[in-house]
Amino acid sequence: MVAMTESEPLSDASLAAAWRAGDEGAAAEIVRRHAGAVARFLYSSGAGRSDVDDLVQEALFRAFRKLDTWRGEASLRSWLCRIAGNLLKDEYRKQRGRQVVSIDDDQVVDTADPHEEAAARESEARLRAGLQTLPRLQREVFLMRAQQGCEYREIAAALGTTPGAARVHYHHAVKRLKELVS
Amino acid sequence: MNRCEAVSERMPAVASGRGEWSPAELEHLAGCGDCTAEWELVSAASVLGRTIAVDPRTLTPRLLERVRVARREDRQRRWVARSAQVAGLAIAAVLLLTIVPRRRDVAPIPTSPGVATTEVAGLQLAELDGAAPSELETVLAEFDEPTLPGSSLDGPDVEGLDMSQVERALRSWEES
Repeated sequence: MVAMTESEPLSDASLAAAWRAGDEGAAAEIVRRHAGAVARFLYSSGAGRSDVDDLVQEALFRAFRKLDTWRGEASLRSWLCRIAGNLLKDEYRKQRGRQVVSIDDDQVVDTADPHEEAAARESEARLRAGLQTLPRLQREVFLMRAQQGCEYREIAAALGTTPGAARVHYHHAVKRLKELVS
Repeated sequence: MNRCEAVSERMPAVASGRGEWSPAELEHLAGCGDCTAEWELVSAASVLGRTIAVDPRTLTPRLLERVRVARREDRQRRWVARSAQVAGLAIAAVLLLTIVPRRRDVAPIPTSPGVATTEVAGLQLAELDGAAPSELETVLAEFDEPTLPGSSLDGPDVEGLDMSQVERALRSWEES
Protein backbone atom coordinates (compact mmCIF):
# COMPACT_ATOMS: atom_id res chain seq x y z
CA MET A 1 0.00 0.00 0.00
CA VAL A 2 1.24 3.49 -0.82
CA ALA A 3 2.54 5.31 2.21
CA MET A 4 1.84 9.03 2.07
CA THR A 5 2.24 11.71 4.64
CA GLU A 6 0.63 15.13 4.77
CA SER A 7 3.96 16.92 4.48
CA GLU A 8 5.54 14.79 1.77
CA PRO A 9 3.19 13.41 -0.83
CA LEU A 10 4.65 10.80 -3.17
CA SER A 11 5.67 12.00 -6.60
CA ASP A 12 3.82 10.77 -9.68
CA ALA A 13 6.92 8.80 -10.63
CA SER A 14 6.88 6.98 -7.29
CA LEU A 15 3.17 6.26 -7.64
CA ALA A 16 3.72 4.90 -11.15
CA ALA A 17 6.54 2.68 -9.88
CA ALA A 18 4.32 1.42 -7.05
CA TRP A 19 1.54 0.65 -9.53
CA ARG A 20 3.96 -1.28 -11.74
CA ALA A 21 4.92 -3.28 -8.66
CA GLY A 22 1.24 -4.20 -8.20
CA ASP A 23 0.08 -1.59 -5.70
CA GLU A 24 -3.54 -0.73 -6.50
CA GLY A 25 -3.52 2.01 -3.85
CA ALA A 26 -1.08 3.89 -6.06
CA ALA A 27 -3.56 3.69 -8.93
CA ALA A 28 -6.29 5.12 -6.72
CA GLU A 29 -4.05 8.07 -5.81
CA ILE A 30 -3.20 8.72 -9.47
CA VAL A 31 -6.92 8.77 -10.28
CA ARG A 32 -7.62 11.11 -7.38
CA ARG A 33 -4.90 13.53 -8.50
CA HIS A 34 -5.51 13.61 -12.23
CA ALA A 35 -9.00 12.41 -13.17
CA GLY A 36 -10.51 15.88 -12.75
CA ALA A 37 -7.85 17.51 -14.92
CA VAL A 38 -8.33 14.89 -17.63
CA ALA A 39 -12.09 15.48 -17.49
CA ARG A 40 -11.67 19.24 -17.93
CA PHE A 41 -9.20 18.70 -20.75
CA LEU A 42 -11.65 16.38 -22.55
CA TYR A 43 -14.57 18.73 -22.05
CA SER A 44 -12.56 21.73 -23.25
CA SER A 45 -11.39 19.73 -26.25
CA GLY A 46 -14.97 19.17 -27.34
CA ALA A 47 -16.31 16.11 -25.51
CA GLY A 48 -19.96 16.32 -24.50
CA ARG A 49 -20.67 16.75 -20.82
CA SER A 50 -22.53 13.44 -20.69
CA ASP A 51 -19.65 11.59 -22.37
CA VAL A 52 -16.88 12.91 -20.17
CA ASP A 53 -17.26 10.27 -17.44
CA ASP A 54 -16.86 7.35 -19.84
CA LEU A 55 -14.07 9.06 -21.74
CA VAL A 56 -12.11 9.74 -18.55
CA GLN A 57 -12.45 6.10 -17.57
CA GLU A 58 -11.31 4.96 -21.01
CA ALA A 59 -8.37 7.40 -21.07
CA LEU A 60 -7.20 6.27 -17.64
CA PHE A 61 -7.72 2.63 -18.58
CA ARG A 62 -5.45 3.12 -21.59
CA ALA A 63 -2.95 4.97 -19.45
CA PHE A 64 -2.76 2.25 -16.78
CA ARG A 65 -2.36 -0.40 -19.46
CA LYS A 66 0.75 1.31 -20.78
CA LEU A 67 2.09 3.09 -17.74
CA ASP A 68 5.33 1.15 -18.29
CA THR A 69 5.99 3.34 -21.32
CA TRP A 70 5.80 6.60 -19.34
CA ARG A 71 9.42 7.52 -18.70
CA GLY A 72 8.86 10.73 -16.81
CA GLU A 73 10.16 13.07 -19.54
CA ALA A 74 6.68 14.56 -19.77
CA SER A 75 4.75 15.17 -16.57
CA LEU A 76 2.17 12.48 -15.84
CA ARG A 77 -0.63 15.02 -16.29
CA SER A 78 0.51 16.16 -19.74
CA TRP A 79 1.04 12.51 -20.72
CA LEU A 80 -2.51 11.70 -19.59
CA CYS A 81 -3.84 14.70 -21.54
CA ARG A 82 -2.07 13.41 -24.62
CA ILE A 83 -3.77 10.02 -24.21
CA ALA A 84 -7.11 11.76 -23.70
CA GLY A 85 -6.54 13.80 -26.86
CA ASN A 86 -5.77 10.64 -28.85
CA LEU A 87 -8.86 8.99 -27.42
CA LEU A 88 -11.04 11.89 -28.47
CA LYS A 89 -9.56 11.72 -31.97
CA ASP A 90 -10.33 7.97 -32.11
CA GLU A 91 -13.88 8.62 -30.95
CA TYR A 92 -14.31 11.28 -33.57
CA ARG A 93 -13.12 8.89 -36.29
CA LYS A 94 -15.42 6.13 -35.03
CA GLN A 95 -18.41 8.43 -35.07
CA ARG A 96 -17.50 10.24 -38.27
CA GLY A 97 -20.51 12.10 -39.50
CA ARG A 98 -22.13 12.20 -36.12
CA GLN A 99 -21.96 15.02 -33.65
CA VAL A 100 -19.26 14.31 -31.12
CA VAL A 101 -18.53 17.81 -30.04
CA SER A 102 -21.49 19.05 -28.10
CA ILE A 103 -20.68 22.64 -27.40
CA ASP A 104 -24.30 23.43 -26.60
CA ASP A 105 -24.28 21.54 -23.31
CA ASP A 106 -25.77 23.60 -20.55
CA GLN A 107 -23.17 25.20 -18.41
CA VAL A 108 -23.71 25.06 -14.70
CA VAL A 109 -22.09 28.24 -13.55
CA ASP A 110 -22.66 28.81 -9.90
CA THR A 111 -23.01 32.56 -9.48
CA ALA A 112 -25.53 34.56 -7.54
CA ASP A 113 -26.09 37.19 -10.22
CA PRO A 114 -28.16 35.91 -13.18
CA HIS A 115 -26.58 38.46 -15.53
CA GLU A 116 -23.11 37.47 -14.44
CA GLU A 117 -24.09 33.84 -14.82
CA ALA A 118 -25.37 34.40 -18.33
CA ALA A 119 -22.23 36.33 -19.27
CA ALA A 120 -19.96 33.63 -17.86
CA ARG A 121 -21.93 30.94 -19.70
CA GLU A 122 -21.69 32.84 -22.94
CA SER A 123 -17.98 33.47 -22.49
CA GLU A 124 -17.32 29.80 -21.78
CA ALA A 125 -19.39 28.68 -24.76
CA ARG A 126 -17.50 31.10 -27.04
CA LEU A 127 -14.15 29.83 -25.80
CA ARG A 128 -15.17 26.19 -26.31
CA ALA A 129 -16.45 26.98 -29.76
CA GLY A 130 -13.23 28.84 -30.55
CA LEU A 131 -11.14 25.92 -29.34
CA GLN A 132 -12.97 23.56 -31.71
CA THR A 133 -11.85 25.61 -34.68
CA LEU A 134 -8.16 25.29 -33.80
CA PRO A 135 -5.93 22.63 -35.32
CA ARG A 136 -5.57 19.76 -32.88
CA LEU A 137 -1.96 20.45 -31.94
CA GLN A 138 -2.62 24.15 -31.28
CA ARG A 139 -5.66 23.30 -29.16
CA GLU A 140 -3.81 20.69 -27.10
CA VAL A 141 -0.78 22.91 -26.54
CA PHE A 142 -3.01 25.84 -25.53
CA LEU A 143 -5.02 23.73 -23.08
CA MET A 144 -1.98 22.04 -21.58
CA ARG A 145 -0.41 25.44 -21.05
CA ALA A 146 -3.34 27.68 -20.12
CA GLN A 147 -5.59 25.15 -18.39
CA GLN A 148 -3.18 22.58 -16.96
CA GLY A 149 -0.32 24.99 -16.30
CA CYS A 150 2.30 22.78 -17.97
CA GLU A 151 5.72 24.10 -19.00
CA TYR A 152 6.63 24.09 -22.70
CA ARG A 153 9.28 21.43 -21.99
CA GLU A 154 6.65 19.05 -20.55
CA ILE A 155 4.19 19.80 -23.35
CA ALA A 156 6.87 19.16 -25.95
CA ALA A 157 7.78 15.82 -24.35
CA ALA A 158 4.13 14.76 -24.19
CA LEU A 159 3.33 15.76 -27.76
CA GLY A 160 6.59 14.61 -29.30
CA THR A 161 7.73 18.04 -30.42
CA THR A 162 10.27 20.66 -29.31
CA PRO A 163 9.69 23.34 -26.65
CA GLY A 164 10.21 25.99 -29.32
CA ALA A 165 7.58 24.45 -31.58
CA ALA A 166 5.18 24.14 -28.61
CA ARG A 167 5.67 27.84 -27.90
CA VAL A 168 4.89 28.69 -31.52
CA HIS A 169 1.72 26.55 -31.44
CA TYR A 170 0.64 28.29 -28.25
CA HIS A 171 1.09 31.76 -29.71
CA HIS A 172 -0.75 30.81 -32.92
CA ALA A 173 -3.60 29.46 -30.77
CA VAL A 174 -3.74 32.64 -28.67
CA LYS A 175 -3.74 34.84 -31.76
CA ARG A 176 -6.54 32.83 -33.34
CA LEU A 177 -8.62 32.68 -30.17
CA LYS A 178 -8.30 36.43 -29.65
CA GLU A 179 -9.88 36.95 -33.06
CA LEU A 180 -12.61 34.36 -32.47
CA VAL A 181 -13.54 34.98 -28.88
CA SER A 182 -13.04 38.68 -28.29
CA MET B 1 12.51 38.51 -23.40
CA ASN B 2 10.41 41.68 -23.60
CA ARG B 3 7.79 42.74 -21.06
CA CYS B 4 4.85 41.15 -22.95
CA GLU B 5 6.67 37.82 -23.24
CA ALA B 6 7.57 37.88 -19.56
CA VAL B 7 3.95 38.54 -18.57
CA SER B 8 2.72 35.86 -20.99
CA GLU B 9 5.11 33.32 -19.42
CA ARG B 10 3.62 33.97 -15.99
CA MET B 11 -0.04 33.76 -16.98
CA PRO B 12 -0.65 30.00 -16.43
CA ALA B 13 0.92 30.11 -12.97
CA VAL B 14 -1.15 33.14 -11.91
CA ALA B 15 -4.33 31.71 -13.45
CA SER B 16 -3.92 28.42 -11.57
CA GLY B 17 -3.26 30.25 -8.29
CA ARG B 18 0.38 29.20 -8.08
CA GLY B 19 1.52 32.82 -8.26
CA GLU B 20 0.36 36.46 -8.13
CA TRP B 21 0.89 39.47 -10.35
CA SER B 22 3.49 41.91 -9.19
CA PRO B 23 2.56 45.63 -9.20
CA ALA B 24 4.78 46.14 -12.27
CA GLU B 25 3.05 43.29 -14.12
CA LEU B 26 -0.37 44.65 -13.18
CA GLU B 27 0.65 48.04 -14.48
CA HIS B 28 1.77 46.47 -17.77
CA LEU B 29 -1.47 44.50 -18.08
CA ALA B 30 -3.49 47.64 -17.56
CA GLY B 31 -1.73 49.39 -20.41
CA CYS B 32 -1.25 46.56 -22.93
CA GLY B 33 -4.31 45.49 -24.91
CA ASP B 34 -2.62 42.36 -26.34
CA CYS B 35 -1.58 41.08 -22.94
CA THR B 36 -5.00 41.89 -21.46
CA ALA B 37 -6.73 39.89 -24.21
CA GLU B 38 -4.35 36.97 -23.70
CA TRP B 39 -4.85 37.09 -19.95
CA GLU B 40 -8.64 36.97 -20.39
CA LEU B 41 -8.24 33.87 -22.59
CA VAL B 42 -5.86 32.13 -20.22
CA SER B 43 -7.92 32.86 -17.14
CA ALA B 44 -11.09 31.70 -18.91
CA ALA B 45 -9.36 28.51 -20.09
CA SER B 46 -8.05 27.80 -16.61
CA VAL B 47 -11.59 27.53 -15.26
CA LEU B 48 -13.14 25.96 -18.35
CA GLY B 49 -15.01 22.81 -17.37
CA ARG B 50 -14.55 23.38 -13.65
CA THR B 51 -18.12 22.24 -13.12
CA ILE B 52 -17.36 18.83 -14.59
CA ALA B 53 -17.31 16.44 -11.67
CA VAL B 54 -15.57 13.08 -11.64
CA ASP B 55 -15.86 11.00 -8.50
CA PRO B 56 -12.66 8.98 -7.96
CA ARG B 57 -14.42 6.79 -5.39
CA THR B 58 -16.72 5.34 -8.05
CA LEU B 59 -14.30 5.64 -10.94
CA THR B 60 -11.33 3.83 -9.37
CA PRO B 61 -12.99 0.44 -8.61
CA ARG B 62 -14.51 0.29 -12.13
CA LEU B 63 -11.20 1.22 -13.67
CA LEU B 64 -9.17 -1.30 -11.67
CA GLU B 65 -11.64 -4.07 -12.44
CA ARG B 66 -11.30 -3.33 -16.17
CA VAL B 67 -7.50 -3.41 -15.88
CA ARG B 68 -7.63 -6.74 -14.01
CA VAL B 69 -9.89 -8.29 -16.65
CA ALA B 70 -7.68 -6.96 -19.46
CA ARG B 71 -4.56 -8.37 -17.81
CA ARG B 72 -6.24 -11.75 -17.38
CA GLU B 73 -7.20 -11.73 -21.06
CA ASP B 74 -3.65 -10.75 -22.01
CA ARG B 75 -2.27 -13.68 -20.03
CA GLN B 76 -4.75 -16.06 -21.72
CA ARG B 77 -3.88 -14.71 -25.17
CA ARG B 78 -0.17 -15.10 -24.45
CA TRP B 79 -0.74 -18.67 -23.20
CA VAL B 80 -2.72 -19.59 -26.33
CA ALA B 81 -0.07 -18.05 -28.58
CA ARG B 82 2.72 -19.89 -26.78
CA SER B 83 0.80 -23.19 -26.88
CA ALA B 84 0.23 -22.75 -30.60
CA GLN B 85 3.96 -22.19 -31.09
CA VAL B 86 4.87 -25.30 -29.11
CA ALA B 87 2.27 -27.39 -30.97
CA GLY B 88 3.59 -26.11 -34.29
CA LEU B 89 7.14 -27.02 -33.37
CA ALA B 90 6.05 -30.49 -32.21
CA ILE B 91 4.19 -31.15 -35.47
CA ALA B 92 7.21 -29.98 -37.46
CA ALA B 93 9.49 -32.28 -35.48
CA VAL B 94 7.19 -35.30 -36.00
CA LEU B 95 6.99 -34.61 -39.73
CA LEU B 96 10.76 -34.29 -39.90
CA LEU B 97 11.29 -37.60 -38.11
CA THR B 98 8.77 -39.53 -40.24
CA ILE B 99 9.21 -38.06 -43.72
CA VAL B 100 12.98 -37.59 -44.00
CA PRO B 101 13.99 -41.26 -43.37
CA ARG B 102 11.45 -42.43 -46.01
CA ARG B 103 12.86 -40.03 -48.54
CA ARG B 104 16.35 -41.50 -47.90
CA ASP B 105 15.02 -45.04 -48.62
CA VAL B 106 13.46 -44.00 -51.88
CA ALA B 107 16.13 -41.91 -53.50
CA PRO B 108 19.55 -41.15 -52.06
CA ILE B 109 20.82 -37.68 -52.65
CA PRO B 110 23.21 -37.45 -55.67
CA THR B 111 26.80 -36.59 -54.76
CA SER B 112 27.35 -34.31 -57.72
CA PRO B 113 24.89 -32.38 -59.82
CA GLY B 114 23.53 -34.26 -62.81
CA VAL B 115 25.19 -37.60 -61.97
CA ALA B 116 23.31 -40.39 -60.26
CA THR B 117 25.62 -42.27 -57.89
CA THR B 118 23.77 -45.54 -58.27
CA GLU B 119 24.17 -45.48 -62.07
CA VAL B 120 27.93 -44.83 -61.93
CA ALA B 121 28.47 -47.47 -59.28
CA GLY B 122 26.32 -49.96 -61.21
CA LEU B 123 28.19 -49.47 -64.51
CA GLN B 124 31.64 -49.77 -63.00
CA LEU B 125 31.03 -52.62 -60.63
CA ALA B 126 28.63 -54.83 -62.58
CA GLU B 127 31.38 -56.93 -64.21
CA LEU B 128 33.13 -57.37 -60.87
CA ASP B 129 30.06 -58.87 -59.20
CA GLY B 130 31.23 -62.41 -59.90
CA ALA B 131 34.94 -61.83 -59.24
CA ALA B 132 36.74 -63.82 -56.57
CA PRO B 133 38.28 -61.96 -53.59
CA SER B 134 41.80 -62.49 -54.95
CA GLU B 135 40.77 -60.96 -58.29
CA LEU B 136 39.27 -57.98 -56.55
CA GLU B 137 42.49 -57.54 -54.55
CA THR B 138 44.44 -57.44 -57.84
CA VAL B 139 42.11 -54.83 -59.29
CA LEU B 140 42.40 -52.68 -56.19
CA ALA B 141 46.20 -52.99 -56.22
CA GLU B 142 46.24 -51.74 -59.82
CA PHE B 143 44.15 -48.73 -58.80
CA ASP B 144 46.51 -47.91 -55.95
CA GLU B 145 49.79 -48.38 -57.91
CA PRO B 146 51.23 -45.34 -59.60
CA THR B 147 51.64 -45.41 -63.35
CA LEU B 148 55.01 -46.35 -64.83
CA PRO B 149 57.94 -45.26 -62.71
CA GLY B 150 59.33 -41.92 -63.83
CA SER B 151 56.48 -41.36 -66.21
CA SER B 152 54.69 -38.16 -65.68
CA LEU B 153 53.06 -35.56 -67.81
CA ASP B 154 56.15 -33.43 -67.40
CA GLY B 155 58.38 -36.11 -69.03
CA PRO B 156 61.33 -38.16 -67.68
CA ASP B 157 63.33 -37.06 -64.72
CA VAL B 158 66.50 -35.41 -66.10
CA GLU B 159 67.90 -34.27 -62.82
CA GLY B 160 70.49 -37.11 -62.50
CA LEU B 161 71.75 -37.07 -66.14
CA ASP B 162 75.04 -35.56 -67.30
CA MET B 163 75.18 -33.31 -70.36
CA SER B 164 76.05 -36.12 -72.88
CA GLN B 165 73.12 -38.23 -71.61
CA VAL B 166 70.79 -35.26 -71.90
CA GLU B 167 71.91 -34.60 -75.49
CA ARG B 168 71.37 -38.26 -76.37
CA ALA B 169 67.90 -38.19 -74.90
CA LEU B 170 67.04 -35.03 -76.84
CA ARG B 171 68.33 -36.53 -80.10
CA SER B 172 66.28 -39.70 -79.57
CA TRP B 173 63.10 -37.58 -79.00
CA GLU B 174 63.83 -35.56 -82.15
CA GLU B 175 64.33 -38.76 -84.18
CA SER B 176 61.17 -40.30 -82.91
